[in-house]
Amino acid sequence: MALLGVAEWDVSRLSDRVKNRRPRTDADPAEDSDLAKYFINPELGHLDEPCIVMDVHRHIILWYLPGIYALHRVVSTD
Amino acid sequence: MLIYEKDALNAGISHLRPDLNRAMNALGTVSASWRNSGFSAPPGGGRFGVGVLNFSPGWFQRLRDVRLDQLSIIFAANLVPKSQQLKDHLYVSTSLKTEPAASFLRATASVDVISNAITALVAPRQYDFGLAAIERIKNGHHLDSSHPILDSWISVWSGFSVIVNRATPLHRDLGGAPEDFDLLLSSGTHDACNLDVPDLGATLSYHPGTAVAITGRVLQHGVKGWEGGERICQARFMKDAVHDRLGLPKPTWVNYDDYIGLTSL
Repeated sequence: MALLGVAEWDVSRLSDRVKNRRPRTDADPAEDSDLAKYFINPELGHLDEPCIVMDVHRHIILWYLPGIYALHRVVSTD
Repeated sequence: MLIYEKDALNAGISHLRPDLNRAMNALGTVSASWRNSGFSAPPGGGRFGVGVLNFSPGWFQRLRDVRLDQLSIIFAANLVPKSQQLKDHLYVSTSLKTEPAASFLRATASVDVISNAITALVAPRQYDFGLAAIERIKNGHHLDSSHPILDSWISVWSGFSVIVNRATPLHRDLGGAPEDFDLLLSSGTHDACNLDVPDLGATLSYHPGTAVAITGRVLQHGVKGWEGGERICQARFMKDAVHDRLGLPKPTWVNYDDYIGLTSL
């Protein structure tokens, strides 16, 4: 069970480098190859338990909350 | 009777099905972008149908906000949306100004309540700025014209997309600030599905009822497909340009230490 994942890069610097372009279907886009030279991605694998992921400076970049909308009942009606 | 939020969302989609069908029919007349492709209709159309609808109480008018059945006319007129400027008015999205949309908001109010609560916990500053933005849209003079539906908008988010029975290629979302989270809610009736986040080497189990708050401008994410049943995603977003227009700053990054500090009080 993973509670905390860590990426060893700075999300601000990754943000500066990513290009937001039309999605491509090829398996190894040039952009990803270029980014891989500078940003070594973690291998968190398959997640099915609640967890957060943060960057090297402890900035939280993802919250994974499985089942949260099912577990928390807020409405009770007739 | 207990009503669960994902079930409320599933029930709410029934209100939108005619609009989803209309949007899909209109897509047949224009070249679809990747955001309007990858649909997989179940045999007989299924319970929810297929399609994508976007809703916002105040955003910059853009091509995709124009009624889809008018798109062919717009393409024929070679109309290109101009760049948005700080002096431009905001608009209530056309899709929100319908009775089915009002019914959907009423049916899914509990989803909005939970989503607001999640947002306040996972991204407190973003929640504050989101709430301030909605208040300024409702009370200020930023809209081109107001609409009664705004009284039913209780979300702190700039808007949301309802995506029904569609696979989504890996993408990053342009509209938010890098520091902003998008809030993704998986719903529907499917048995198995994964949200891929290759920048983290992660695949997240994406069963109905799951929420993922993701910095979607930075992290690529997508869904290759699903097994069994039908898939719905409600994706909530905050538009950085709208917040800028409303005089609100960008949030700062959410920091893990802010939460560790809470436990030591």
